[in-house]
Amino acid sequence: MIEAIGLSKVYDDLKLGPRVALDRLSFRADPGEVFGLLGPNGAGKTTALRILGTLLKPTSGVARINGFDCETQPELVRHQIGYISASTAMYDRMTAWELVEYFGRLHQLDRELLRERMETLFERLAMNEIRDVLGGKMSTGMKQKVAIARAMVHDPPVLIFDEATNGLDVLVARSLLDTVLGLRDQGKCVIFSSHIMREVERLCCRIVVLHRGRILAEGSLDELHAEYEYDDFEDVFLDLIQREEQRLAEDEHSHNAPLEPLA
Amino acid sequence: MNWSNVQLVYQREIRDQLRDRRTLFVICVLPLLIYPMMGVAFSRLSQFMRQSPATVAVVGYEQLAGLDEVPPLLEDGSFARDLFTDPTLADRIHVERIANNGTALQDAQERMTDGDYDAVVFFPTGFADRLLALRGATQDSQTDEQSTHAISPPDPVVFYDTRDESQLANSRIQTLLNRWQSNIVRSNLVAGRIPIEITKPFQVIGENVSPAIGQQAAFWSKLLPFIVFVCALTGAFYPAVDLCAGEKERGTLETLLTSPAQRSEIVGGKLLTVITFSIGSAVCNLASMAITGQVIIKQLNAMAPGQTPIAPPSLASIGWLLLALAPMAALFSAASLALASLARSTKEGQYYLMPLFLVCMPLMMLPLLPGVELNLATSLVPVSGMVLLMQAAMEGKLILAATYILPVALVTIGCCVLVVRWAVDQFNQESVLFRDTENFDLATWIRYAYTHRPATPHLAAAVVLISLVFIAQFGVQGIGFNVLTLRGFVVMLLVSQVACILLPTLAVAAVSVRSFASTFLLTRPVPWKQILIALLLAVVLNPIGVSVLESIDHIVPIPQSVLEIAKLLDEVVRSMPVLLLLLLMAVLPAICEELAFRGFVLSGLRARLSSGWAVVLSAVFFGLAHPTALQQTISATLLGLVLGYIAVKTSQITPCIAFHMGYNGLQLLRTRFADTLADLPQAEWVFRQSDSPVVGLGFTTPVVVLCGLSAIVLLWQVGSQPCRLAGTLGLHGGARSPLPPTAPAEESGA
Repeated sequence: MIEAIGLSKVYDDLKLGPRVALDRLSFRADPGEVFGLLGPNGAGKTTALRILGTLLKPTSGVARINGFDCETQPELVRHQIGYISASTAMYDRMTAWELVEYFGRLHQLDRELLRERMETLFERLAMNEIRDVLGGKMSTGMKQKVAIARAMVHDPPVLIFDEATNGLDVLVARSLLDTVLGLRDQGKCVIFSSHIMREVERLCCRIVVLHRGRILAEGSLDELHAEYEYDDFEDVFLDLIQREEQRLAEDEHSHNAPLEPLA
Repeated sequence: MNWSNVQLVYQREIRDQLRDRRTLFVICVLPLLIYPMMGVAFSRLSQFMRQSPATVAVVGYEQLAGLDEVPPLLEDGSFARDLFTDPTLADRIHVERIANNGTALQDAQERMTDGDYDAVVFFPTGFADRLLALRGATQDSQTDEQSTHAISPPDPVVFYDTRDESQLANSRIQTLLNRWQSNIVRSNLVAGRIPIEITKPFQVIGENVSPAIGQQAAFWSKLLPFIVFVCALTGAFYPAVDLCAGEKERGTLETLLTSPAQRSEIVGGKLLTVITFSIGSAVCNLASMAITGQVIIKQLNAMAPGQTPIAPPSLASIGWLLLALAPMAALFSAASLALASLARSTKEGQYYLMPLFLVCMPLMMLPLLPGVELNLATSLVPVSGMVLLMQAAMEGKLILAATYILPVALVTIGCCVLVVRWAVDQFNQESVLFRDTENFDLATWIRYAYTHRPATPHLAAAVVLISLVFIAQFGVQGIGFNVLTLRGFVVMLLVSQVACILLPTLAVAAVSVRSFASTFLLTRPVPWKQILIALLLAVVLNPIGVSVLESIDHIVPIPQSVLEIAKLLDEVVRSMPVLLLLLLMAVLPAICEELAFRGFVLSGLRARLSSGWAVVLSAVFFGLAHPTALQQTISATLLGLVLGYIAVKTSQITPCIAFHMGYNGLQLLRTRFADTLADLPQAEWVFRQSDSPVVGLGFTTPVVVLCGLSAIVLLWQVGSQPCRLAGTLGLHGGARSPLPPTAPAEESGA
């Protein structure tokens, strides 16, 4: 189970001053569901997921995974999660088998159990052919499979997919989505971020739409369809973004207006 | 910290590096190849020096033709064989005989320029006559001095040019002509029945009395530690860049950080890997050098017969070197790792090698300077101390080495711990791990740094201030104060405190912090009770300080030159009114130095370090800012520890100022009124005349012991006081933080 309460992240930017990448994000994802984090590039999806993955510390707010606090108990949290992202690369000079084994052992798995689990994983993900292939010689699709195996080797209850389909061809992307659905059916809690509507539509039970670090809309697919009266989810998304941009522009305008006479 | 994870990370990194051909090549193959290649080049060169064929034109050979009585220079178209140490080499120099007529010399020189000859030997007309005249003079005892001197010297000339072959031919001919000359002298003397010893009534014999092994050891002890430590440094750097910047660049660092391994475990594993490669690289270099060295030493010995043969370094000295290699490799590895973690890419990582080299190289070169020896001062210099310790151990001065092993070990371990901490710290910083490419613009950065300056200083600001103080102190040395006049002395004191310490502190504080009050520990109300305790502490620590100074003076006597200056200054000090003296040498330094070191520097250090480390480091810097003599540096460092402790415990600067003022003041009064004090009734209970010239009037042992006990009680009092105070203040203080010095620590944590 994932809980985020008022998560904020502020980066220092030399030119613009403090930049809010995430603004009081709150949500909750339960076991057996795929929770979607949808938003355009730079919306704060990766920041949010990195906080859940204990790679970043929130400026304020609390994130909990199965009750463990991401900020104060990062090691315990990392045992609970499998983290897969487009930016988690594979070691070039390590074979698929070695990499998965390495992470399994970092999770302190018993050798016998680890071996058993790896055999099952390699079987399930159809990775036996690339067992002894070095990372540097793999295609993007193969690497993504290894990443999934790496993230699942300790059988975590929570899985985090951050733009995991980036750069994958249709076939591989489809098989990844199937894997995610399979994980959901096993009762895992999956959080899946993407900027591609179709994927989110296909996978997610509930969705949060993020834009510039803030939640624009949230709810189940049906709720969102009903609320915004569009058949196509892509239209819902674009409409939301457009309206928000308009609002921001107006805000800025009204903010600047009283200054004009002074200038 | 889970050691099995450290081991896992270590194993993976080692395997990864070993699978990388580049690393293997640079660390192992390159040293194995480079020394034999250098060896081959060397032996080729020496062979060339000895055996390369040369053609020499002898212009004016007819001068030699008539010299039947003297030993010959030329024989069968080449130089006489008995002039060579190895007679077979005579054939290597081909001689062209040219009669000296008209333009013969000029032609020969032109042909040399064209490369036909390597050198031209010219015997001028009259050369033979002169030789014969001199020979006649030795035989005819009647000849007066006048006639032998009257013969003008038509000397032979060797012409050569800048070509290597020509230069070499010149040196070979010079040797041959010198030998020929000796032969002539000998034969002349024989012919005149004069004993050969007359040319050398006596011979000066210089003999190095240290055993041959000692002489060899001195040579190796200078060379080997330097080479091995440089190899350890370079061997550490490249893997460190690959392990940090390389992982960031390839995107695998994020993968690793999502694993359950703690940051310290990851750093531990990586650090061990880098240490392995650092040691490996140094050992590979050493081994390869040893093998090549064997060959070269043989050749060198063959080339210079008669001299003390060069022997390879002893096994014991290699053993010492390997022993010292481990801590040095750890130090270099941790520094490389921390620096490399700053880089985003391997390319950027390479840039950081330069600053590391700039810091480490002078420290490694320092012991090579003549006159630099292992003593208490040098043993406290990081890296240099270890190199000097190695030199001493390799030269067999084991007692000297054992004396300083503790300070060297402490300094090395202290540096290691600090640098490892720094490396772990780097891996805990989001800004370092996930740094985006930024378009760096200095003006924007300065503006940003100024507008977003923290309440209390960052670590960097403290480092900047320390550097500024050192630079200012160094710059002021250039100004020639006439300290022997009262005016000059006063100006010097003012400049060294105000210009070197106070102004830089205020300037750095003005641009780098928002709150002067919290930076300089002035937010809390003045704690009168603790000021009183601090003053009492100054009183009881005085005799202890004096005995410490005395014992340091026993171990490392103060240089005579410093003593003489001190004696002259003493007269100036005695001519000063007491109040002015106290104002300038107790009150002024107490305020300036406390604001700088316990105010700014300590706050800055505590922003990133634990209080203990911050106090130790601030004390070290405080000591280094008192560089007149080692004694002063050490006692200032010790006082710095006490002052730092007071600052941390009381969270107020005023007790520190009070202690500093009291301590300095009492020292001044004791030396100023030494005679009066000694004459007081019952003075022998308290004072005794010390045999140390620095101390003068010392204290008796019972007084020192009593003061020591009181100091412990007072220090405990200082420590126990603020907890209660802070607690009560915390309850009633509301929003304002009752403990300003903890603010930096809290801020960095946030």
